[in-house]
Amino acid sequence: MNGGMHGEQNNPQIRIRSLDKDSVDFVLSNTHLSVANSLRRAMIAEVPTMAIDLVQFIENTSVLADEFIAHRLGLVPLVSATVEQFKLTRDCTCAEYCKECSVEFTLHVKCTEPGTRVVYSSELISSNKDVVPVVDEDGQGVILVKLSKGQEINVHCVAKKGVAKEHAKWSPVAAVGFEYDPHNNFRHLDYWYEKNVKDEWPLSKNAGEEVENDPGAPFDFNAEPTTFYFNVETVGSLAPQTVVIQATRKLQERLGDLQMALEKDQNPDANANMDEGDPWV
Amino acid sequence: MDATAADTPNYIALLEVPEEKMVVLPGASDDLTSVTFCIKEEDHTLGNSLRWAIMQNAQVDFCGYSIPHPSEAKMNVRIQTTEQTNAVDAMDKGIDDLKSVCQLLKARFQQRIRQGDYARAA
Amino acid sequence: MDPPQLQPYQSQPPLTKPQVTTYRCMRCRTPNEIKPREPIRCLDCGYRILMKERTKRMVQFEAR
Repeated sequence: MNGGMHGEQNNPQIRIRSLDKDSVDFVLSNTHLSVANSLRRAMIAEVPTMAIDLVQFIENTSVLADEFIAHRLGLVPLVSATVEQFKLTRDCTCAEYCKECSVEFTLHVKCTEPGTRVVYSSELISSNKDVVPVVDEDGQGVILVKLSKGQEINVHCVAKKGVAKEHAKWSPVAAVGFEYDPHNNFRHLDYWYEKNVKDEWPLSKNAGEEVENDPGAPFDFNAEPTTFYFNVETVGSLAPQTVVIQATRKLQERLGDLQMALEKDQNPDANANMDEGDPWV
Repeated sequence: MDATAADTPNYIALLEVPEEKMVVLPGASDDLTSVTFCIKEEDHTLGNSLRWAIMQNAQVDFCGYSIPHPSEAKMNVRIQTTEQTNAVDAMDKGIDDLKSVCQLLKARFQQRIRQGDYARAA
Repeated sequence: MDPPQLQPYQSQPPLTKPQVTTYRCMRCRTPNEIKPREPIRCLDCGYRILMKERTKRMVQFEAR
């Protein structure tokens, strides 16, 4: 980098506060709000995962309509640690779908006893041992449908790779907590209150990381946020640290594509740069 | 249609190929110091941070971006620079700089994960 | 100018085998055929709620 950029904003720092199976809490500092927001947006909508995208109904005598069940199946989180081994179906050479770009699931349950038979996502049988429905400690997954005596459901599903900007079911995260300036020093927020702001708006846990400006001090119009508090909570399809890393990787990839497009724009005949490998890894 | 192609300078010849990821919109200055790029399939995710990265360049007088219509996957980026450089170089440098910020961000995160000095669930 | 030759109205040739859909009585589950101009009523028990049967074909949906 040949100068020009601000030293402080150019050298992002990260401090991880906690990490567990399905969430990571970290503080990003020394960067610009726009970069932090790019990371947030990329984690929500650009990280690829696997999700059921096609459902064939062989039998459905449950009380739920076919399309309703299909929609529920689409939202089932699938373990996507191996998602990079899959191609996007539109980039695949196959006609419809194949094992290079999809995983198949079957679900066949009939309730034969009196009472309610609860069908869980863990009962989906996968064609790929690495792509299975996400389950927690109880090993059941989520409830798909309830059957009473004589009712039956028999479906065949096709899971594909995708990103959440196409459909939210592909999002690896349930929520991304994002906060800056917990004391509202910059006055980016204008809190509504009845009697007293401080009583009615309790401080967040991030407030301990920063100090509140002296209320008597003159307002700094040039102050900019530099510290951002993230809490990434996954749906279980990818590890939380994988979500963060894949999001940054995706941003780099997109920037690389953009640079390639810029070169092509300047020099439409030269496609030589297309074969340069992977300069932005 | 072909008549316009003959009149226009080289750098907007690509306007005729709508599949292009990035094109220079008509109305750019001859010395390319003020140019509006139209980028397809990009949104605020890269738009705002790219705008910021380009603005960090001291030779850039102005950089702004807009998404003219939410149902069109298009983003316009306007760059105006001093005579010392041009908008295309400023765009290239902006992309480079933002890419290296992302690279640093990733490296730092991975380093912190390896260090393991954080709380873990019991 | 001669007026254009009007063609006599030609109805569609009758289908060789008119497709009859059977409906199921919602009280006694007897299959019923509904014919035009006939009251919608189960021939067995007289119940007036009849429902169409689910298709035998496989149906496919996008999970969206």
